[in-house]
Amino acid sequence: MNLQLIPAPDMLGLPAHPVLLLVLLNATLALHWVFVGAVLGGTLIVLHNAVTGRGDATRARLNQAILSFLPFMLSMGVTLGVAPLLFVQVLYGHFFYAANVMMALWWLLIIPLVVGTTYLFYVAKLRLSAGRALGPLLPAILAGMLLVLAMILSGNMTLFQTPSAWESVWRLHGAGFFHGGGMVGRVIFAVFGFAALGAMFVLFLGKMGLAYDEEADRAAIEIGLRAAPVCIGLQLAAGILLVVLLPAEQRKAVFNGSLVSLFSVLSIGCLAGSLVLFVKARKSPTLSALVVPTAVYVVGLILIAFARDGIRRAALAPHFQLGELAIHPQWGPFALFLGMLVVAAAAVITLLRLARQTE
Amino acid sequence: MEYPIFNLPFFGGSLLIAAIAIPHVFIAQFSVGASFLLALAERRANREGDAATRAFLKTYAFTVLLVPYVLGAMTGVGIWFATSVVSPRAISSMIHLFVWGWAAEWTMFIVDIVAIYLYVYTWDRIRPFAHNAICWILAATSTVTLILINGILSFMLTPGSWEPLAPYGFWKAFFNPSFWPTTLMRFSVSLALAGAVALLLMALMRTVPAAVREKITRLAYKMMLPALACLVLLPWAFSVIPDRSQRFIQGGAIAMTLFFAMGMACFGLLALGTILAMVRREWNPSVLGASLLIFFAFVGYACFEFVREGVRKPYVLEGFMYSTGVTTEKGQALDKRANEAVLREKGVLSAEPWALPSGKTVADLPPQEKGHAVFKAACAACHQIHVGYNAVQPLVWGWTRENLRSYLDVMHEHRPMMPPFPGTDAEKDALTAYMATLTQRGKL
Ligand code: HEM
Repeated sequence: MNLQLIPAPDMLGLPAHPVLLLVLLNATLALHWVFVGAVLGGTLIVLHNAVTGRGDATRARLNQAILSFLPFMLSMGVTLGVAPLLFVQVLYGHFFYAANVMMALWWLLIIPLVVGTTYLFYVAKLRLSAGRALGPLLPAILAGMLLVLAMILSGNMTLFQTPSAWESVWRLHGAGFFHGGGMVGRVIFAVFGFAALGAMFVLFLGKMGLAYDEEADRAAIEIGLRAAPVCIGLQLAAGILLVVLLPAEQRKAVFNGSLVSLFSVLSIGCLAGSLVLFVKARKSPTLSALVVPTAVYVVGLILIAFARDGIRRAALAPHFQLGELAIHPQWGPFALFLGMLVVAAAAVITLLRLARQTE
Repeated sequence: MEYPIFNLPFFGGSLLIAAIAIPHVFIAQFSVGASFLLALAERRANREGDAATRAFLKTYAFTVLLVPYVLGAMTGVGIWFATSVVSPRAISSMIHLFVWGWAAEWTMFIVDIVAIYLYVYTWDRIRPFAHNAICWILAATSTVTLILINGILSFMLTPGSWEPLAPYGFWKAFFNPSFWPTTLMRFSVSLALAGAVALLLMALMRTVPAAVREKITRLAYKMMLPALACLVLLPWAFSVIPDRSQRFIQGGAIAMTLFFAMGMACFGLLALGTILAMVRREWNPSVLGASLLIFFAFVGYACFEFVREGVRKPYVLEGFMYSTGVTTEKGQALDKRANEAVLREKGVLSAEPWALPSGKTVADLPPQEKGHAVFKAACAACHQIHVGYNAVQPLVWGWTRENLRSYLDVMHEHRPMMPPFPGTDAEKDALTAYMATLTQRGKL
């Protein structure tokens, strides 16, 4: 490829050690996935209910309950996406922006899609709360929009770590951003994971008595418990296939005994453990029997984020290594961020307490 | 420079950013004010046990706060997406300088979202005091986000004593010379917007009881009064912007002069309208009157934003980076690829290989094609070619080659909104060859 096409890293260097930035990037990215996953997975369950539960009043009420939470979950998912968006620019900005511009129209499409999804959730919910039936069309459109969103995100992340594809993608005005199988595999892996998260989200709606009424709560638990292990199993299979099909130098990063290997193995362990625990929880779905596999799954997600980043660094290694970047620490502003993070955590706790002060 | 070049036909990148930023800024600013209006009105209603006012506020919270807030949050993210595509080098430098500021703002966004949903969905379900406290938390955190983002945005025009990588750079950049006047201005406009929208609601919702109408209207006027301060804050901000930008406003760029004057006039009329209404004890606002006040707040503020963006030209980051992404002498020690000194020697295409037709090198190209590539690298950030935003062809109709060539040497002197031509003499010749194909009227 024409190496000239790769922009230089930003001249201002890093405002902190890259390890700190990587931790913040990947921890917040995993949180972002938890929420957008719950939204995409929750929408798939709404679709499933709309298709298989026609005329079933309990499923309709469950759908109404799920839909009333989805705009909030989506707002949180998008807002949580802002943090990785900041840190990915600091660390890999020169690759990331290049990919953004190459697929600009797709990239910009994210905003109308996110806005459209939010308001369509309200439309779907209002239909149900007005006592009208919700057929499969609207949930299918919503699921489609969310899938396109996941595809654009994955396409961008794949493109930015594959400079060898840049010229051909640019020639096609970005239309071919889904070049090669790499991205498709990533999307499939992500969507199975999101479906699992959706199942967990619905499960907890039921368990915490938030799914409209007792019958709907029971339906939520049943659907969630059925879907979660299946989706985790599929995600595991897709993940293993994804690693096997990686280009050689990236696969090496998973098998060379480095931290990336450790994260990969541990994440597989977490997913498998969570699957087994969910299957066991079917017998007696107590709160703790559900919290533990969910927590294990989320830990697995965090590890996946770190492993994924290691693979990305392996892919970029011929052109760029984080170690090359000058570090100009900004401790004062970092302290401001930390201070605000503590204030924000305290504020959220206070808010939740206030919201429980019933009359 | 350095990145692939995004071209949105006809509109251009700046208009794209404006199209996303304008709704965002208004909704976001409005939300800050609306949270104060709700917090204040609800506190009073709680104290007085006024169920009718609470009922109105409940509707207000859902329709006027939550629904647009979501749009505001999403379009805010949209600005990131758009700027990264339109001005990657500028946003890159901004993020490397301000990431902790943005990260701090992000923590407040999380609180905002949780607060706003809890506030709307716990009406009449929790103790009134607790419910009102949620709104105060929302008002506080949204104000902090306003302050943080304004520190970052105001830096772009008035970097003050900031120097790249010099000690305390973040703080110098953040507390830049226009930080205080613009922060105070944004805050007072936030209050005014929320007040004016409440007035319009009062005018439209005829079923609201008279007592509620009077209470909300009085509060709305009080919230609009601080906009009077803009008449001082705007000249204060003007006094600290660069001399070049001041000259634009003082007649050097007629659009800037007009918009600045219009902004001042709108804030004046907003304040005057509010004071008159208060003096006349107008507790029953008309649709026309309320709409006019919204119009003044909206247009006054839009003028301020438009002027702020406009008078920064030719820079995207004042004194440090031109709109083309080329850095000035301030970046010379750090920027090895797209600094003006480097480009003068190596040529603008050395830093913008994406402008070349795929698979070609500079040496492969005939002059006109090379000139077209130079245009993309050095001009397309602000100019469309044939038609549309700031299209260059109508500007050079009838010019001779000699006019074009000599203009490239002095363009920044003739038009101080343009940066100096960034490349070599050979590139100027090539650009002249290309632009000469655009000089015939109507030949697109
Ligand atoms: C509901 C809509 C969204 C969905 C379904 C979604 C899904 C995803 C997925 C699947 C990935 C992983 C891509 C991969 O590695 O293959 C991802 C990464 C990411 N998302 Fe989202 N996303 C959504 C919206 C957003 C928004 C609006 C933002 C910005 C605020 C955002 C910010 C990010 C960032 C920055 C990353 C990558 C960080 C990195 O590579 O280190 N996402 N998202």
